[in-house]
Amino acid sequence: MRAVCWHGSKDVRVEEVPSPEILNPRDAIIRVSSTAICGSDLHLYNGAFPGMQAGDVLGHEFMGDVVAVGSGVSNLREGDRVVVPCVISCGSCFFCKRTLFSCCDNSNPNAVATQDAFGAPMAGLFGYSHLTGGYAGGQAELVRVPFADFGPVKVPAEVPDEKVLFISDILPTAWMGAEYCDAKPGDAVAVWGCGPVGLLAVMSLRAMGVERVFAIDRVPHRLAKAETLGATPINFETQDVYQTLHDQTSGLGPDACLDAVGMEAHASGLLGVVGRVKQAIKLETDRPSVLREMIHCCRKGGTLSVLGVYSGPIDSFPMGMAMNKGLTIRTSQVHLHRYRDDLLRKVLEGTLDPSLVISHTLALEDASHAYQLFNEKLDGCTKVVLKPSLPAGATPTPVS
Amino acid sequence: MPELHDQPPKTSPDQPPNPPAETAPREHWSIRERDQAHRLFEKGVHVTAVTLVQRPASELYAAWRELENLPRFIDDLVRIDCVDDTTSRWTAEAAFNGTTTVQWTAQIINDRPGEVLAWKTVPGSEIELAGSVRFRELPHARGSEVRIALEYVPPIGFVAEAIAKAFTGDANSRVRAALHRFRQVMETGEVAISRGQPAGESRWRTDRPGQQLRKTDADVRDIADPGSVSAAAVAQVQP
Repeated sequence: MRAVCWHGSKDVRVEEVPSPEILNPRDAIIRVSSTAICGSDLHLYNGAFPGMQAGDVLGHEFMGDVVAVGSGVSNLREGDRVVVPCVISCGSCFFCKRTLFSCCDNSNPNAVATQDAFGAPMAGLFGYSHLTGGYAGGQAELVRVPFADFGPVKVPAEVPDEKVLFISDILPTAWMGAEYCDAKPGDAVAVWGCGPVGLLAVMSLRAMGVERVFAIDRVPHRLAKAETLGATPINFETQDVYQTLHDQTSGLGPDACLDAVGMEAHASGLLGVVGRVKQAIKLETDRPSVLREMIHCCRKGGTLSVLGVYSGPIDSFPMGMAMNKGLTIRTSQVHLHRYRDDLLRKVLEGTLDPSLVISHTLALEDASHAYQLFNEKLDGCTKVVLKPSLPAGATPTPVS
Repeated sequence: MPELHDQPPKTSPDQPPNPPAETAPREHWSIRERDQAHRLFEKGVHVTAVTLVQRPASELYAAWRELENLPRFIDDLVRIDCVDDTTSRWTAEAAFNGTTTVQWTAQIINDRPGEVLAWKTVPGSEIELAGSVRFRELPHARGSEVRIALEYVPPIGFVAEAIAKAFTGDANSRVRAALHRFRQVMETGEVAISRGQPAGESRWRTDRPGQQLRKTDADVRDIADPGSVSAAAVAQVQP
């Protein structure tokens, strides 16, 4: 089968690889109809996230049809159309029982190695390095899905892929981040990053009834999209973020700040340059400029909701500011199964339409080009969906 | 001498029955000190590990009491054959080369259903080895704690022992990995694996870390077969 393989920094190739097989009773094999490139895949693309091996199949946002199930899967059958959560959860460990699904104890075959790295074994993720299990990802024609009796959610045949695909990751991620903001009536929330997760966080916050949402980025087409979703755009290259937010919130600062950027934040000024240098020479794995700015801007007693991906220690973390302002920091990988069914209902009802973030639909064969488009935000790129069924070179289709 | 593998878990304050002579009685003993005071062998490698499993202690004990199951969790073991109810013949891969095997006969020295199981090599064995596993259900439905302690004295004198000591870290991660696999099987009915999955060609690829099981995939699948592990234990594992 064809699959998108990682071979190093900015080196992604579509290759012929062996087809996956059922290895465990609770496995299923899915034939992928649509898969997407996630902003977090760009951390792998740029070589910023550790634990990758050349040849690894990428991708954790995918959906498709069940083509085979193991003997332990009774709730799915061949032909079922499913969306697959990016996080692999067993459903029966200490953490899954407490709905902390992205902390699953049992889904990572490399648990001992991650325990040494993080102090606790991390859950398995599809196509996201050997730290998270070394599972082959979903940017492929076929994928093996472990614990398939617990994770995948069936979707009706008549709904287009584009509407439901993002239940695999970014919609629940954004929704969870919006929920972490714990916004009360009258609260203002500022969202850093207008990539797909930031945009869907704006959409989620608005759907939850938050009246004032600020969206911070520097890419004009993304800021414009955030504005159409109901946010007040702030371009950090032309506006002073702190001054603007304080001016708009009666001098208090936003009640909650949401990080939809993560470890490769672009910052202006000296700290931004220092951060890039440190990351380049591996003095620091992550560039935490968004975190710093959120702590600076947030109102006293407010909440930081951190969705952006971080991998290692960070320097110059203004803990004194956070402590003295009495901030609450809430963060996690997405506890996806907690939100899955509710969000599917909202999408089917038409309350949420996550397909609005898609800018390009390309052939799986064109993945290398797609990664470049998305990484460099060329051609108005916000979100790329890849389809194994499209012929190579199918014309890019920008959606407004 | 009171034996490490004879002690049911106690709650603090917890004083070992044979405290070091030079130390005055104390309120608190660290787990390390307690285990140290309870060790069977004065030399050799000593490792412990603990985990929490969401199954009743009785089920976990039952799965462990079927000694033939242990090689499925403990990577270095090749097989265990039960001679009678308390005597068993163990075959393991030698610690440092993985090709030759070591054999010994072990006797169960402590067996309290649902609480503790401990075993020790019979006198005159090529390798001196003792191990125990203790089960304890925690209050407030937090699950059952499984605490394993292993000691062994390698066969050939102090050089081997020095090497073995240097490898204690490795032994520690092996025991942790074994407990991790035990928990996976008891909670989910299978061991999570990502070996044998599709990947692109690369001469740089190595074996996947943490999964260098010297078992065949058939063995791994076998672990997950409910009939092969204490059937009662796994039968109820349904999310």
